[in-house]
Amino acid sequence: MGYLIAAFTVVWVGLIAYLGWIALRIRGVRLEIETTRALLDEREPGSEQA
Amino acid sequence: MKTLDQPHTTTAATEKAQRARWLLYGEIALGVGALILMPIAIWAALAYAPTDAVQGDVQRIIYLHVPLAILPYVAFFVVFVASILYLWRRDQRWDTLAYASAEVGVVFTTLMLVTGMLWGQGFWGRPWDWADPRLTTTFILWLIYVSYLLLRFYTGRSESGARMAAVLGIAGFIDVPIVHFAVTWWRSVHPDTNYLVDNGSSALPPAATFALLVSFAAFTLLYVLLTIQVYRSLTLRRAALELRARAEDAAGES
Repeated sequence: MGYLIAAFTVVWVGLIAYLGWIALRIRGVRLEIETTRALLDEREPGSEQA
Repeated sequence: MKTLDQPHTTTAATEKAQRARWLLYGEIALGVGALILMPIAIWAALAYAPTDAVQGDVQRIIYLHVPLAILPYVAFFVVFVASILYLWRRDQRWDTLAYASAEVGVVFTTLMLVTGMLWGQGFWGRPWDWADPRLTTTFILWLIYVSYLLLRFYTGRSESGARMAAVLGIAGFIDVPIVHFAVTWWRSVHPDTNYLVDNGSSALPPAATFALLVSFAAFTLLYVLLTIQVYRSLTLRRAALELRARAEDAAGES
């Protein structure tokens, strides 16, 4: 029974953690894009249309 | 000229927005479907399916292990096809799809190996047998696609890196049929497909077949959902790198 519980825990916790990690990756990159865009707009006004 | 270009640009933008909206609806449907199926799959595997007379409760690992063994075949087939299409068309979207599917395929293969080891420890009394062809060829498959991810990581966004990865993604797929037929070509302690299918119909009791099918459906939805998410993160990463390069150029000019 212990191996069965371990298998279900590893798989479902692992997959949910992986999904969460991907969501964090996406959020991090989106934040980086927004920051860079703001910086670029300061240097090249009107660049957000490009 | 401007009057001709204007409606064309607006139509393209509208089409892009519509595609994005449909993709979002699709993702919501996949997420809701996976959320509904996950608890049903766990319930069916742990409570609804009958206990195996020989192996006992540890045999219920089959409802995780079999879907996690089949879906890497699908994931690596997607890598194989997308890599061919990338080398043929040189369209970055195929390269990104191959990368995303390889990443999810490696995660599923890792979980399949872990569940297999736990099942082996519970039933055979040992987690691994290096003499077994199915186990060894599966480990090689895992190593091939981990190498693929490492290659992507160390070559960054270069075109030569994408080309090398595409070649590895195509060549690496050779191991998939070897893994699948290892149990029939060589002597193996691993059960073959007759354990599941007998003369075209399920060899398992109806409740066990139901549990396996629901679990397979839940993992399939998760595979598609995860691949879309990884694809998105890779596309955004590329956009961020391009923006950063522009910002650095602008900083250099000023």
